[in-house]
Amino acid sequence: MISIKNVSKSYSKGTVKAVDDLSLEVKNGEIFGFLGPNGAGKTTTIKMIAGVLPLDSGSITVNGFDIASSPIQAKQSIGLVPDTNDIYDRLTGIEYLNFMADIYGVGKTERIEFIDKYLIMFEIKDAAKELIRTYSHGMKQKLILAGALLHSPQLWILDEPMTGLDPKSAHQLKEEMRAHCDKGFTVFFSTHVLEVAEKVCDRLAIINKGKIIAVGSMEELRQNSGETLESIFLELTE
Amino acid sequence: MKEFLTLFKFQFRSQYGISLLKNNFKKGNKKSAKVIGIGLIITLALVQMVGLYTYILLQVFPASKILGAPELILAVGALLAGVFILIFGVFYILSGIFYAKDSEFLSTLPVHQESVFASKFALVMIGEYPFVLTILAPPVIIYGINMNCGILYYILALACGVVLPIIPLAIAALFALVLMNIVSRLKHRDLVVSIMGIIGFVAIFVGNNLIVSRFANKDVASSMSNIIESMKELISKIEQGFLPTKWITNILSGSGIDVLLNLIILLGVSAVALFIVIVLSRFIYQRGMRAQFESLKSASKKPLRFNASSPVVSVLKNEMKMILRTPIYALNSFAGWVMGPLVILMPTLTGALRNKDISILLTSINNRDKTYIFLIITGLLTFFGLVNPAASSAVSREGGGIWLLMSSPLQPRQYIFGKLLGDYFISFGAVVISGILLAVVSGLDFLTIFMPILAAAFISYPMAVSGMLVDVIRPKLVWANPQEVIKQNLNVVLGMFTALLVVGVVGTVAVLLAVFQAGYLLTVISIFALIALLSVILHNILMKTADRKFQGGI
Repeated sequence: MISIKNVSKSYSKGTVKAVDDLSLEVKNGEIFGFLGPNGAGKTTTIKMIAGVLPLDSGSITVNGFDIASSPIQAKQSIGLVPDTNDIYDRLTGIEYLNFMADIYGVGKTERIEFIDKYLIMFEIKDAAKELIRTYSHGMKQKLILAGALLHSPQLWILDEPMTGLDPKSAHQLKEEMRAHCDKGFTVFFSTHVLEVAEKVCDRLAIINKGKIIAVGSMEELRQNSGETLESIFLELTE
Repeated sequence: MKEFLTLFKFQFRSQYGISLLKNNFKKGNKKSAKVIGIGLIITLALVQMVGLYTYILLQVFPASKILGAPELILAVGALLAGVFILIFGVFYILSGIFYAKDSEFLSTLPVHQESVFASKFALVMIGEYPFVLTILAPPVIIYGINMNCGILYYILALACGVVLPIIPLAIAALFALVLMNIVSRLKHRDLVVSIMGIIGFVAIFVGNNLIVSRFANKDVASSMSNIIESMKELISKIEQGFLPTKWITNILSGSGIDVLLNLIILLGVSAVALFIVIVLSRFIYQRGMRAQFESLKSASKKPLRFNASSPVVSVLKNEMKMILRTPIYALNSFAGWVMGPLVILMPTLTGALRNKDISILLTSINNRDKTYIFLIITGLLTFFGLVNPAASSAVSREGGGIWLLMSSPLQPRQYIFGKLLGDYFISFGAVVISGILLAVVSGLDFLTIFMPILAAAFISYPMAVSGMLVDVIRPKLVWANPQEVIKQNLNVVLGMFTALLVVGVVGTVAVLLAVFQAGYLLTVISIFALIALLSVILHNILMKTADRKFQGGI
């Protein structure tokens, strides 16, 4: 689903290397966890996969489409949940969701079904007619999650999705991630919550200082390092 | 005081990007050089306007000196600066103090609310000084040189310039404090603020014009001495309504105890005005400011609406909603919708001109040459379409939410076109509303008024495209309050210049055609053809630039 080959990205005219010759393959139907300490390059990598940031070198293909040369087709396969809650805070929740459905070309029948489904699932149906600026952090996060899922994306990318979610919503999100993969779709997400990554992910990668330092299933990682993901993480990122 | 200073320093550094600029300079960042370069270009452009203003003052000064009123130019400068700050101050105060992005953060700090208010008031005031300097410096220098004034005069002028914005901004702040406190109890707050803001603007505008109309009704001879006499009369009338002008003029042109007395009055009244506003803010600022964060539960039982639109139409609808629901965007973008009708109606409302007069005036020109009447009305209506910063701030207004457009599977040109249509519609509306009103007021026949409306509406498109092009090339995505995207955004100024460039190209060709008596039909067809050509060229440049910039990560 995602093929990242020798991707590099620098900021400040090359003085800060955020991602350094990174290569990674994410298969169809798996939940892929992307871990790393703060400033390791997770968000930069996610923004490059989603076509928000251009690549300095290398290539990224999503669902067979090169993000640089065929960005529209690649983005059509993606549902992005960024690490920021910056959205149109003077729209109502339902206006935002209708906007997302329009942008991703979701038909009327599907939009009614999915909007209703996700509003109920994330328990924000009562707030759907309110302005987004009146939402709590968690409610905004839920709305963005719903917006990213409306077009049943083949690749669901989530940057720190658990931030601000209550335990019930976090649980529902994990369930939804699994359900998404069961349909043959892929989930790629970054998190700091190692327990979540350990329980949910089929495979995961650890990035540090812009480079992938470990990749594989939990079993594969355990063979090389400690017993728990926390000990593996701490050992590798020291 | 310490609290105020800490808050002020923190916000000043943040708002004016001092730390960022320092950092960029240390690293030799090209961005700083770019900002400075653009600033210089704008300064050069402004120098021309200030040059024209200075030229007029230089013409007025000798005549006013002969008539025994050399201080007239000082009164003009103080009056212009004071009245403009008063008229637009309400918008600046609303956005700078009540709609700032950091209001919520600041309200969590263990500081007194009047300190927060005062620090934000000071920030707004500092933002006015470049304007005060531009307007006040030319008359002060002309008067000072010609009257052989000493150093004390310049020190007093500096003091007057520093104090000048306090009273008008304090009046604007009082209005804003009361308004926000009232609307904090209402449901549709943003709408009420927008409407009340427009009413306030209209009231001050009409008030000023009513004073001017009294002057306009008098017989005004064309000789310089009569003009000066009339100006004196007009200024003295306005001074009665805005006394700081009188005090400043007296300070700078008077002598002895008169100077001291007026200085004490100016400083005293400014201090009292400031004190009243700060004290009032202690009681009602936080309520008004916090209202925007409070959740409003809708009582509506209507079912959710799942309206589907094409992506471009959806972006257009979104753009309009965002503008209409953000008072600062609405007030600035729709200014032409209010200004146009006001400018057209004002001469008849104030009795300066009667409908019959306008009709006779226009018909007399019309009989001589239809081309001129076409050009004059087109020019007037085009101006109402010009005063719309929506297109030149379209991308900047996305701010941190730009990720949504950048990660969407739309061609950048699609959502840029959607936004462009929305922003163009605002200019189009200003032109059409003003044009229809002009038709009603003037009583001109349908075809005579229809062609200029069409031409002005048509030219508003390449104007909007050129403005948006500037914002696509260098969007300002980091800002703390909506006012920053409009008032402190170079793109809005540059957008106006590019729009004026479009008008200049079309206008030059139009005037040449009229001078060489190309005939009405040929002139009209040529102008429409030229606008169409400019539209196609600029539209293509905009779309290609949008694709390139968005795919390049902006």
